[in-house]
This record gives sequence, C-alpha cells and structure tokens, in this order.
Amino acid sequence: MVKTVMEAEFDTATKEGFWIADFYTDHCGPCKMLDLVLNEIIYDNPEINLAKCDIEKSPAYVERFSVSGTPTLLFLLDGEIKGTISGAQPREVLEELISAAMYGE
Amino acid sequence: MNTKFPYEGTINLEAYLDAYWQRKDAIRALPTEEELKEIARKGLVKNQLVLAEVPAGETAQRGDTVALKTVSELPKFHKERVTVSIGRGLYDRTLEAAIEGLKAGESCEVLIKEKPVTATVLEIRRKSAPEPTDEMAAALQQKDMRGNLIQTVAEYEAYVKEQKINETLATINYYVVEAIMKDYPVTEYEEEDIRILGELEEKAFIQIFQEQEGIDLHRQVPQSWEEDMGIHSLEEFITKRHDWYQIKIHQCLLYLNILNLPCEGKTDPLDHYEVLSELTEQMFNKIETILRRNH
Repeated sequence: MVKTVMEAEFDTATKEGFWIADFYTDHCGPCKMLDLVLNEIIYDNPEINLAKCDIEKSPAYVERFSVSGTPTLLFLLDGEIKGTISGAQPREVLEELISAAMYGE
Repeated sequence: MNTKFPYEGTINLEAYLDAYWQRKDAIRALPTEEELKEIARKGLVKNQLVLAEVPAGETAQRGDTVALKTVSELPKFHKERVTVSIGRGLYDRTLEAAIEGLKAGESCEVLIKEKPVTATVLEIRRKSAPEPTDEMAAALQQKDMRGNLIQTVAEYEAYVKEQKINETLATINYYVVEAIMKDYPVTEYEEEDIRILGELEEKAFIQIFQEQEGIDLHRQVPQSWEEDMGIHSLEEFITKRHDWYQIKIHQCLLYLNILNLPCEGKTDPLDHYEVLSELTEQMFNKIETILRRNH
C-alpha cells in the first residue's frame, strides 16, 4: 500500500506492519529516481507499505526525524524505527536494508 | 578559460569504460524496452493490487506472498508466522527457492549458516492487477522531466524510460569520470576562473530561486542552507563552493578533451552557467552510443 502521510497522522499510519517512510520534495531529481525503485519494491512485496512524506507540505518531519536532505528513507516495523538511509540508492542496497529491518539479521 | 589541461592527446574513453565493465557490479547494458514497460506498469498499478488466496492444492510460485511457520535455532528463522514474498531473497534466497512448488500445509527443510531450518507453508496469496489506464497515470500527480503533469500511460512510460536511461548513464559516467580524474589531475587552477564561475553561479541561483521558490537571495537564504550548512548569505555560499568550482573546471576540461571540442565560446564554462550540464549530456550521449554498439 502507498499512502500520502502528513506529519500529524504519521504515528497512526505506521503503527502496524512494515513501512518505508519516503521523505521527499517535488522538485528533487534523486527523489524521482528513488520513487521508481520504491514502486518496484512495493509491487513485488505487497507486505511492505510506503508512506510518502512531502517535507515541504509537512516541514515538521525535518526536525522530528533529523531529515538533513532528500530523499531520505526511514524503515519502521510496527511503529519502531529500524533503519534509515539517504540518497537515491540502487534497488539491491535498499533490499539489503529492508531485509535486515523487516526480518532481523 | 585560463586554466590549462596539462596533457597531450585525447583520453581513451573506451578504455576507461572497458575497465569499468571489469567491475563485478558494473552496469553493462541499458534497460530493455520490456523492462522499462514493466517498471512503468508496476508504478501505475501498485495501488490497485489485489492479493487473493490461491485455490487449495495450488503450489507457491515466484512472486507469490506466503505466510510461513519456521523452526530453527536461528532467531530469524524461528517464527510462528512470517510473511514473505518469494523471489527477491528479502527473507532468504535458499529458503524462498525451497518454498517454490510447495502447497499450503507442506514443509521443507534447508540448511542456512549450517543450521537446519524447517518451514511450513500456512497460506499462499497471489497478486493480480488491472491493466494500467490513463486515469491511473493522472492520479499519480507526477511531473515529467520538463515539469509537465503526466496525464496518460504513454506519457508515464516515456517519463520512466527517460529517467531510467538517464540514471543508468549517470551511474556509468560517475565511475568512469572518477577514474579519469584520478589519472588526469589538474593541480594549477587559475583563481580568476574560479571567481568568474562564482559570479555565474550567483546570477543563476538568484534567478532560479526567485522563479521557483520566490526567494530573493540578496535578502535571505533558504532555511535548509542555514540548517544543513550553517550558511547565512549567498556570498558565504559562493565562497564555500571554491572546491566545487575546481571540480567543475576539471570536469569541463576532461569532457572537452574526450568530446574533442574547443574550450571557447559556448563550450567555455566561463561563458555561461549551464556549460557543465550541457557537456555532461554530450558525455551521456557518447556513452549511450558505445553501450548500444557493444552490448
């Protein structure tokens, strides 16, 4: 499932299951590259949910999650932060992180 | 430009590409039309997926999402119920391969890190998705590379194609240029060149921020500059970019050599701000030609 999530509803939206929070802005080139990779991951693994978090529409994210640049991803399992990464990473790198965050080492 | 490229002859781009292709993780080909269409399809229908349990007696296939009970000494593989999509190895490649072909209720045993792991299939669910439609494309609210809102499947496919090919070429270009920069260093930069690049960037940034963000950089800088870089004025930003201007000069000199272009007029980075991106685009075109010919 892909959901646009504002800061006020973030905790409720991500409290169950595995979520990737994607902090992005509309005019960030690497965010667009990453978006295509995330689409594939979400399609191939329907048990993973994606929260799209536009930091311009919800600037409180920046301070709360120390988002220092876009794109930044946060991995959450049942509401608990399990990892984070910045930049437009290749699919293989993301899958390794997702695997560790979802299932443990 | 006054900074000189202190080498004779033309850099052999193909030799650097061949060296890059020796890397285990190298990208050796552009994505095919079929791959690009599939990426676009997944992007369009990802919100319309339906997961349904397969009829009794059907076996698990690659791409299915299965619920398993796993038993092992390894904590990762000792779970009452764990959900796994088979195929990409997010849980474990060996186990996922062993699950393919099993029916609900059946078990398999594999060795992982020399420890036995038993997995029992509790449930098999298979995804189905509708054909992409223009409505799905428009619902994404996605802008293409030129800032136009995408309205149709064809436009979204074109956008994905442009993005993915650009991304592929940018990755290859990054590794190749990094290697060339090491072999062909420039150690003497003319400070006058750096000063002019700073002025060009200053003018460009003032215009871009005015038009796109409504920010007058003479009076304020974006909040992110202050928070991320501790920069409080445009002048401070330009001063801190000194090393980047050296890299920009270096890259321009390498690109001009490889592309066999003179460093004057419209290809001189001191002529206008966009020269580096224009030369980079030409490098991408050259790499794309070689890729299409060789692979």
